[in-house]
Amino acid sequence: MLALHALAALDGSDLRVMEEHLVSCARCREELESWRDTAGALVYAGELAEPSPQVRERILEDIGSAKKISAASSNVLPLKSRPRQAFWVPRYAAIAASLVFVALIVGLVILGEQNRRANRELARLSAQYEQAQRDRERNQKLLEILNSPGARVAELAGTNEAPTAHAVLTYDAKSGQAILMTNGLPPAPAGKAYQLWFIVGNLPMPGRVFAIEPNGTGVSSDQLPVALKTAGFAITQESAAGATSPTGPILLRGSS
Amino acid sequence: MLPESTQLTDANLLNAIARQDEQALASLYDRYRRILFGLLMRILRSREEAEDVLQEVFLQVWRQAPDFDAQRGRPFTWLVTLARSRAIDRLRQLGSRQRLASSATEFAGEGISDAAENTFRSEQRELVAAAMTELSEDQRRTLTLAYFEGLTQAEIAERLRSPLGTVKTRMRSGMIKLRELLSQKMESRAF
Repeated sequence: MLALHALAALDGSDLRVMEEHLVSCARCREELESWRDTAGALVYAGELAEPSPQVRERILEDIGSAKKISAASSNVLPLKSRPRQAFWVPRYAAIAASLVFVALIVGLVILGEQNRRANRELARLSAQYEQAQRDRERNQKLLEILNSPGARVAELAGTNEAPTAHAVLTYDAKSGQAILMTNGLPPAPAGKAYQLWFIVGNLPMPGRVFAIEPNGTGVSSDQLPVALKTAGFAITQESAAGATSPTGPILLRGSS
Repeated sequence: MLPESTQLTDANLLNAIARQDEQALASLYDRYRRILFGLLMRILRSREEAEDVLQEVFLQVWRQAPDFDAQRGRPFTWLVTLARSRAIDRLRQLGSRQRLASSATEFAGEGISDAAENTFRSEQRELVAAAMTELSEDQRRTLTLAYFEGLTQAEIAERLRSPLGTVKTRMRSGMIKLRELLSQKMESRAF
C-alpha cells in the first residue's frame, strides 16, 4: 500500500484508509519517504526536455515581487535592509530629479523650437500682410488713375534683348501719376535693378528703379514729367541706385 | 550571498533558499529544470501546462523551503514529489476527457544529450534505465502508467482491462523489485 501511495496511485477507499493511518503512524510515514525515494528515481527513466527561458525569468520575477511585498508588509525590518533603504531612497530621488531636469531641458528645447517656428510663421504672415497692403494701395491707386479723365495705358514690348518681356504703364496724363507693371523680366543681378525712362523728344529722362518679384512681375509707382511732352517709354537695366542716363541696352519699349 | 553553487548539495541550496537567496533557487532550477520539465511534459503532454506547473513548483519551493525537513527525506525526492503531485492535480483539473485524448500521443523527448546534464545525474539515468529493463513488461507498464501518466490503480486497471487486484500486485511487486535493483546497483550511493 505504501509503495502505491508513493506513486500517488491509490484511490477510493484505499486512499482514505492510507491517509487516516499515516496521521497516527510515524513509522509508516518514514517508510513512505523511503518509497518516495524509489518512486522519485523513476523520473530518470523519462526524457529530458528544455523549458523556455521565460519560465526562469518569471520565477525570479515572482520571487522578487514576493520579497518586496514581504518586506513592505513586515513589521520587523531586517537590520541589513535599513541601509539599503537609506541608500535606495536618495538614489531614486536623484534619478527622479535627473529625470525632471532632463524633462525640463527637453521641454525648453521644444518650447524654444516652437517659439522659433512661431516667429518664422509670424514673419511670413507679416510679409504677406505687408505685400497685401501694398497690393491693395497699388490697386486703389490704379483704380484712381483709370477713373481719372486723363487716363492712359501704354504697352511696352520686349526688344531683342528681352523678347518675352512685356509691360503696361497706366498713367494719368494730367496729374502724371503712373503705375508700371512688368512681366517676363528675369530678376536683376545683385547690385542691379531695372529703371523706367521717359522719352521726351529724343532724350531719355530717368524714372524710378524697380525690382522683379519672385513671381516674375515688377510693379512701380512713378510720376511722369507732365510739363513735358512724353513721346515714349523704355526700360533698361542699371545700377540699383539708378542712373541719370541709360547705360544698358533697351529691354522694353513703348510709345505714349 | 551564495558561493559557487555547482559544488553545493541540494540540501545546501534548500538552506540558502530558506534564507531567501534567489541565486540558490536559480541554481536549483538550473540543476533540475530539464529532468523535471521532461517529467511534466510526459504527464501533461502540453508545453504550456508543463511550463506553468514548473513555475508553480519552484515558487512552492521558494515558499516552503524553510519548512523542509532534511531528516524526513531527500531534497530531490521532495522536489520530484512536488512536481509530480502538482502535475497530477493539474491533469485531474483538466479532466479525464482531455487525458484520454492526449494519452494516445506519446511524448517524445527533445533529444537533449546526456552531456548537457550533470555527469552524476547521467549515471542515475543509466542505472534506472538498466533497472527498468529487469522488470517484467507488466510491472514496467503499470509503473509507467502510474508515474508518467498520473493514473490511479483503478484507472490503470481500466486502461489495461485487467482486474484491480492484479494491477495492485504488479505495481507493488514492481516497486519492491525496483527498489532492490536500485539498491544493488547503487549500493550506498544516494540519488
